[in-house]
Amino acid sequence: MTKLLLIAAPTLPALAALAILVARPLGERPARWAVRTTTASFAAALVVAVAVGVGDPISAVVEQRDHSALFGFYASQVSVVLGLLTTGVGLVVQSFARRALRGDPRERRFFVLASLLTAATTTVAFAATLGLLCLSWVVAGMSIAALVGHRAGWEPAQRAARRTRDNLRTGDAALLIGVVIAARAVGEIDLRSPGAAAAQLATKSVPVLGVSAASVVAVLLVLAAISRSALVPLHAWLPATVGAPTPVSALLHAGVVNGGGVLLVRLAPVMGFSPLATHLAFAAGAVTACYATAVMLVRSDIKGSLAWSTAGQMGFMTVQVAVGALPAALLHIVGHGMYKASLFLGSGGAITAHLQHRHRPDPPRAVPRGPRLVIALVVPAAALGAAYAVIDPHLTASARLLVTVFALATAARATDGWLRSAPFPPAGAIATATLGAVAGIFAYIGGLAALEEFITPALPGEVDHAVSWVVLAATLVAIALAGIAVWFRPGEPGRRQRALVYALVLSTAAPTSRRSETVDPTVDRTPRRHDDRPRIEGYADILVDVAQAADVLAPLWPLTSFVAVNPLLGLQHLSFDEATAAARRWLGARTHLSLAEFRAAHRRDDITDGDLRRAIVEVDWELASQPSVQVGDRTVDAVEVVRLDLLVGPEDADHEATSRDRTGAGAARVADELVARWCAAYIDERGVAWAMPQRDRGFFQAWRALAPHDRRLRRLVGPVGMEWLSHLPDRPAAALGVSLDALGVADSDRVDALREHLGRIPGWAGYAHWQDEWAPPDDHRHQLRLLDLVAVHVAATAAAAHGAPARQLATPPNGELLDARTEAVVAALGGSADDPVATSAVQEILQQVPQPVRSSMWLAAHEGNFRDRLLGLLNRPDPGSSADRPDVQAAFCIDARSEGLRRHLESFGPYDTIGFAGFFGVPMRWRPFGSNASHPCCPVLVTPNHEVTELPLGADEAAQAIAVRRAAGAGHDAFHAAKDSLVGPFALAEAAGYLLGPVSAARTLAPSLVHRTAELLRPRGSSLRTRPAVASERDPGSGLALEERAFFAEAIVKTMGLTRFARLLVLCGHGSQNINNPHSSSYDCGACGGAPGGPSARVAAAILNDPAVRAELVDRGITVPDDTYVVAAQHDTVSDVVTVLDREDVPDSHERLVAAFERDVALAGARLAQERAQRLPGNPAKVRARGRDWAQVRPEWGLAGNAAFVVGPRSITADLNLACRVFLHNYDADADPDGLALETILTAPLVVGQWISAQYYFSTVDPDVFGAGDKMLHNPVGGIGVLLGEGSDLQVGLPIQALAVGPERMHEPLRLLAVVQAPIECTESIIQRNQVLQELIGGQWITMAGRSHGGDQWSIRTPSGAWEAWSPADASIDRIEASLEVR
Amino acid sequence: MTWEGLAPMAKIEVVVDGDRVPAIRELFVEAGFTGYTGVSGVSGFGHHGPHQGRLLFNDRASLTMLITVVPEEKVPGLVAGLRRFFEGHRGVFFVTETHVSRPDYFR
Repeated sequence: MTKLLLIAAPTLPALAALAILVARPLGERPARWAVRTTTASFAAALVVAVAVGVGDPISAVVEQRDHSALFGFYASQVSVVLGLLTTGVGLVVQSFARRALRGDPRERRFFVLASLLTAATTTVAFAATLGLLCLSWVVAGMSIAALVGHRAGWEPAQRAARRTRDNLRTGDAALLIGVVIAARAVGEIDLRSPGAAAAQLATKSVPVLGVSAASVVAVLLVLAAISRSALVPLHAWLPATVGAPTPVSALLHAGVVNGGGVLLVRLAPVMGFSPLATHLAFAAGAVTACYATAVMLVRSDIKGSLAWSTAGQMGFMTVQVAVGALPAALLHIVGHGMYKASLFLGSGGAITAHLQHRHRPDPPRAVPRGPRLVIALVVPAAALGAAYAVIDPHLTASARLLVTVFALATAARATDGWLRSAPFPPAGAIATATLGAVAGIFAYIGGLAALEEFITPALPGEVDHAVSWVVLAATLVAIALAGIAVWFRPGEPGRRQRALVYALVLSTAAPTSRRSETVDPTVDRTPRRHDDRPRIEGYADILVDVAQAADVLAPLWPLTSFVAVNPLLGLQHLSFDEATAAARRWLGARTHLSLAEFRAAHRRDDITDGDLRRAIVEVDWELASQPSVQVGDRTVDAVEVVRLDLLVGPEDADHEATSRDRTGAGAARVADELVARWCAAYIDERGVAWAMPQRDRGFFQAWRALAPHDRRLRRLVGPVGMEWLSHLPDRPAAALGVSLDALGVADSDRVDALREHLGRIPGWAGYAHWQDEWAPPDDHRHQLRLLDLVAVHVAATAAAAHGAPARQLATPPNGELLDARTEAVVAALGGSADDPVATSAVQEILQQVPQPVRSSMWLAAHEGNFRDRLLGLLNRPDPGSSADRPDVQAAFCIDARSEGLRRHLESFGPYDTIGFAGFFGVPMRWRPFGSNASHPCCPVLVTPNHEVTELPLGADEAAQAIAVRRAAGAGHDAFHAAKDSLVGPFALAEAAGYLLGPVSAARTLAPSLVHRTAELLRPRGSSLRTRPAVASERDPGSGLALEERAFFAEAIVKTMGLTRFARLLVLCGHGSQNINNPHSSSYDCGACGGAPGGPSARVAAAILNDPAVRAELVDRGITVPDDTYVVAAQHDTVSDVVTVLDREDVPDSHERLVAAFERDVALAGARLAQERAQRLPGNPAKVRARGRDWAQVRPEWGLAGNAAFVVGPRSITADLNLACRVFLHNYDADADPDGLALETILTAPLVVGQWISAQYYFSTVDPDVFGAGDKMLHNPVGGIGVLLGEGSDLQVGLPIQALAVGPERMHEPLRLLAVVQAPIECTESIIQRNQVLQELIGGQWITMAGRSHGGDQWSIRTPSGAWEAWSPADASIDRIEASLEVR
Repeated sequence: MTWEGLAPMAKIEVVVDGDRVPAIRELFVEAGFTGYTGVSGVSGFGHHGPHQGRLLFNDRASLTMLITVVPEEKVPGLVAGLRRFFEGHRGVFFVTETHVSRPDYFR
């Protein structure tokens, strides 16, 4: 039985791969098959492991005559440990991928390859012969290379796949040659007794070379291991794989790279035969451990840092093998595998973790440095000595030396980190540090001893020619001395030396491009004289040009507070058509759906023929007056000709090509990558261990200090370019001027040239633009000025292309397309291409409709269809609201997701629901309890002048809560002190992996169980009661003065249109509880600046409940009845659970009402969740738990589908299902005779709504340029954003998983439709006196519909300012479906 | 006209869209100006028609006036920049002579 299970463990995943490949199952079945099979494989491996643990090794082999193995599997104590790792990692990663890759176009391929990879790596563990091991080794390499290239059509991924394949082939070749030599010498090697095989090999010699076969095979094995484990010099492929999807990275780093160690451990007797082999492995391992770990310390991107860390860890593990510390190496392989899989799978949580870190309480006074260092050294040393004495692991001298040095280093770093911020008085801190160090070291040594005891029977004993402990000790001493010489050298020489080393590490870390791409021999590389114009006098115009060029950028907020913004915000002063033309030109972007996509919408009836005809005339009214044309037997008007062209005319290929061209090639691309790398190093906010030197002096100056030592820059620009760069002026404006001169850019072309540069790095430039123009004045980050950034980019480009003219943008040709379009239309009309008159007439019409106009017509038709559907629903007299005083009024954010909750809530009773901007009219900064930082809680259009602090109720509970959070912070510090160092990460990975691995498995396989367990374990302090300190009189330093509170209370009441007050007024903000998601804040409240809205609701409720404020309101003509109570709540948009906040404060008089509200809103939430589940992929029953699932890339749909903004009384939309597509803002014109409230709504909430709408629009039409790409490729960087894989630009906009499931799009890209019920003359007057509205509405960024009163017909505002009566495109309005669902 | 004890300087007033203020500020900083005063929510009537003053929840959509005082020798560089700026953007700027009591504040 156990033999069958042994065969099953590696075979089952292979069978799954085969079955998926052959049967090509659809939907979720490939994932299901793969996961179930790998589960069975893991179970089989587990039973085999237990059997081996309690009994003897198990063989399932075909034997030769001499009873040696010919083929088959063998489970020794070593094999079962490795087999459990490979099948366990395979199971966890494939389960993760089952949710994370849902909808991925290559999902099935992934599961074929992942299953094959699991089978292959498990076979490497269980193979009974060297031949089978070699075969599975090669298959594993091929599988992982194919997986690295998972993203088809994305050049970085394909490049990485090629590099991976090429590098692994080197190792494969070495192993194959070794196998052939061994086979020729002694036949198949039986891995059940590698010692015997080594002895046999030693007796044979290799012809020609004349050395023993064992020596040659040993060296070849080491070469294979060097290649597979990414050791120097074959290391570069591993960092290049950062562009692989997250599950692939987990498989790679937890499984494949361990192959080198597995090979050497399983064949240790063969390797140990050759001193050359062991010393080669030792040298490669030691160099890689030092070098790669140093690179890890400078990387601010999470995945890049993890990738280099893996290389370093593999180096360390190889050293362990080379010195003969095989149990320690095995401990490392398994521990690091689980550690790295966990960190990769959890990499999406980096931004949230950073945010939490920023909001941690200030640490108490740390233990002084002197005692701290003594304790950090003495306590772990004593603990280690005690552990050795008590446990007495059987370690060789080398193994003991390694374990001692690195376990001590890790423990010392962690102890130091803990003592820096432990939430206790010094005695307590020291006691807990001692306890932690002792427990950690005993667990580590105990685990090592247990593993050693378990696997010793399967090991060869001593490795014959292992590297001696003397060599090891000498190497460690040499490395330590070198480190001290660099790190602790005092003064300016030391600073310069560290900068030099930093630059070398940073620049060699970058992936190297092919030389042919970086050098253009035709370029004139003669250095030009630098211009010495004076400073501002000569360069003020350049500053202005930079500001003007920045129009092509939108500000990019850090992901800690995602703000949806129109990507063409800087061009909003232009019309939509002009701005999109500029975007096509400067950003190489697509700005509309393709014709094929529009036509698909036409086939779905989302666009009708009537819509098309109306849109054609809207876009070009002259077409309506053109004469008809005769084609064959038919006479058709010009509009019909154009309509047919839109339907059947061929696609303009150039339209598709634009966004792909922008990446460019050669020097320009390398320059972009270099600048992106420098930016990432400069901005790091996460706190890398080794920060960019001199960054306090600003980006330009820091770059100037770095550039002379940057090897990759030198390769790009050559010595002449470096010389030229060294003479650049000191000031960025002057340097920019000089660089532009060098590029031959005339003053008149400067803005265009700068736009081209900015368009190549829109992410980093957008972030710099945000820092220049939008960041709060107290922003703590290192400022990346746009001027600095563009100066560096242009200088690097100028140095690279010295004297060459700036790249010319291609002008899309429009040659034969017109003929083809004409032909298609004539054919559609039944005419002949040979009819010159008809052809000429048709062509003359089509000539007036170039490609951009065709796109505009389609877009107008698409929007017209939606407009007809919405206005068709709203086209009824306003019934008005009931005159009775309601029991409950509930105000929700205007966010489109609130529409669903309001609709369902109203179905449960006479709830009077209200739509209002979710910051509830109080622009403030919010400082959460215990945090040393505050964040804005209002739209970014407003500068908050007030800070409100969340204060605790109950000193003891508060102290306890703070202590808990400080302890968590100290734990974080202890972990990172060990991890972010040169010596600490190695033993840390071994130890932490055994903790993180099971936790990650549980999070993946049973997320709800983990959540429930976490809730049970939650410290009591987390249930602490708090209150917002709103009144500055009572809480000096926080809150608002009475007059300010009264002012905002009045604004809330008037803007909300509250003319009467219910007994209970609920203010319900919203937030999104989701994990492991860099874009988590994009699901939060846009009106609260990308933060949850609960704090705003609490503050507004406190203001409105304040008796002093109510007294002031009476003076302002507003009377809030005494029996009105205002309560705050928060809607979790992932689970649709609404939580009433500050629940304990509800007075008895309102208890019944609040309880009833809670009951009804819970039912409403359940219904809404059910409704949403129909549109989300995956199990509908688990829709409310998606936010707790760390593998879930679509916790909810956010605002996908948003299309309109209705301003008016709720009565005009009541009872209608608006499918969560409409922002709803209450407005009562009768209560706003002077239009001030309407002006506030149109100039703030509507503007924010338009930003959101435009963000979704552009992210949908061009996900490559305006979107953030695939979440699975996201690589969080610096605590502020994400890169796409390795060294890309900072990503802007929304990821594709926020907009679509595979080819199925969840958002219809439409410009926002604003529907306003208010006197039209008032609306028009507000538009006329506000430039922002003139631009948005006149420039056709927003379409506006309006009616003065509830009984009127709707009118549409034309761009010229006229209001025309609305009529649907199709005469029969009844035909329009009463549904707004995205189809 | 002379003012006893006062030092002659140039006063530069710029009226510009709220969202363009950072660009002007950058010019001031690069020109080495030591300070400026900003008045947001400026209303009025001009070349582009009426301009609303302060809005309740939008600080960036109204006009802002920036005022700075500098030694006359610094004016030409800035004026070159402002001229170029206003070739592409709405707004106006004025340069006038002024006198200050503490000239070291403005150098």
